[in-house]
Amino acid sequence: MDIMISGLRRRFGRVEALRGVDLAVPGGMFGLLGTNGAGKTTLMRVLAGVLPPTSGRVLVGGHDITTRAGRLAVQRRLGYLPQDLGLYPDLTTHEFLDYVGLLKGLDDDAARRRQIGELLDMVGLADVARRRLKGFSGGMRRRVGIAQALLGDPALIVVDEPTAGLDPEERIRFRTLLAQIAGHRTVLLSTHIVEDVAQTCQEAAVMASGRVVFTGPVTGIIDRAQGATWEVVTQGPPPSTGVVVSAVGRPGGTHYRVVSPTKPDPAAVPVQPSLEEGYVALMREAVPS
Amino acid sequence: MSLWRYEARRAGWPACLAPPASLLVTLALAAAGAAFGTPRPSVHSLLLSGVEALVPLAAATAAVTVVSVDRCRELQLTLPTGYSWTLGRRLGVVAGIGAALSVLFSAALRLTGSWAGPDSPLASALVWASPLLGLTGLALLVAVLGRSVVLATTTVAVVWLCQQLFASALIAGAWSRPFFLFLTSRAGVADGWGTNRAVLAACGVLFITIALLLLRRPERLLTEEEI
Repeated sequence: MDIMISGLRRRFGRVEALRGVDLAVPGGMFGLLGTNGAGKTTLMRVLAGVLPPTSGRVLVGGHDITTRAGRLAVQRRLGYLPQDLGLYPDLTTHEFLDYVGLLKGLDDDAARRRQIGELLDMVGLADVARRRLKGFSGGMRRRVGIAQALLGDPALIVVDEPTAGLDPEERIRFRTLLAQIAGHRTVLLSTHIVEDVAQTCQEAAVMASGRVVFTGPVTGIIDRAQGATWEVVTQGPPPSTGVVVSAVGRPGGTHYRVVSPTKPDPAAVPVQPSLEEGYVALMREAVPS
Repeated sequence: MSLWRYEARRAGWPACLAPPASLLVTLALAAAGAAFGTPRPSVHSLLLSGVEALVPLAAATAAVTVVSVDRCRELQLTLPTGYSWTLGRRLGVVAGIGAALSVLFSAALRLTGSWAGPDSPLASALVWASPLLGLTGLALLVAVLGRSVVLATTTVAVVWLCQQLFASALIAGAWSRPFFLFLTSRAGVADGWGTNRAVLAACGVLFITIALLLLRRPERLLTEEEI
């Protein structure tokens, strides 16, 4: 299910959260990177039909979501996991999924229950199917969230910051789950965690200040830091030029990795950039400090 | 049917229990009044207040909670079942409980000879239905417009309390009388009673219609924190 966005704007009072977004999302797993406040969540909400755009055009699978009929057509094929999924604490896991299933129009009781059972197995929550959601950990809540998103076998899945706040083990588990469900679907993963995109997506876009500043293969982001990534080993203060991306203290001195268009220190040596460094270089170009 | 059961749970126990609790309070007050020698007509008026004043208040405050509080609102807005329908089902549960209890309570008062309202069954229903519609409609509209439990609950409480405190003045005024919520229990089925019931019901229908029109864009229920 491809997504075509052109000239998308969304304003909240005086604040313009989206300032003319142009983006084409092909099928498969697609990452959307950006700092907090870049406009990712607003874009996700517009795509999911939560918020109407102020102006612009958004076609999802050929449906114009600015129209009521188009929005409904998309929502029938959509699975959405919001950034802050508040669950109903009095419901059990099974009941919550059953309720969402009914609201998604899955009226065949037997088929719906069978699907819930399969999804609970898939996300590893079958053991707690009859437990109330109250008291679930962050990781468990996200897994309930992805299970509800998958109900009805949607063609498009939109997940907003799904790994934020999770411990490393849960993050890896969740990333694996996302990659697993991508298959024939379009999965739009919005995150500010570069590693999540690096591990799961081949294509990505980067947002800054309400605009898309990059779109293409993930390796294209890395390329932005080619020739601009340096390692500096020093016992003194960190280099004042460029952006220090990492600092590792070792016996011979601290090893700094720096993104800078110019050599940040006479002792600096060029190194192969990572995705994170490419992202930093891109953000420096997009939002000069 | 399953969906209605879930929506009843979403409306919440407080919303479902408030109307019966208000009637129990009425019964307790009436029993205490009778025990302390309050004249029978006054006790009957008090019992009538249960369905005319307290059940509508309980239903209106419950409606505010139903509209203003939803932990999964953002998710709900992405589902193909329209959120206004979902809210409608929840409000239907609240209103249905209030209506069913009022009918039962009114019937019990009739059977025990304690009914102080009009004789005809249709008019009897208007004793509770008109203020229920009027006050719940107001609560719904303010909750949708203000997106705040505090604002909507306070509005309902202020309107209810002011009408109780200034009842005599409101009944006496030609312009205020049609909008007085508790005419039956305070003044009986007197002149202008039919107009009063019709105006209250019409106001309720008007408020609910405006709220439903506003809910054609349900994202307006998202609070600033949620956005």
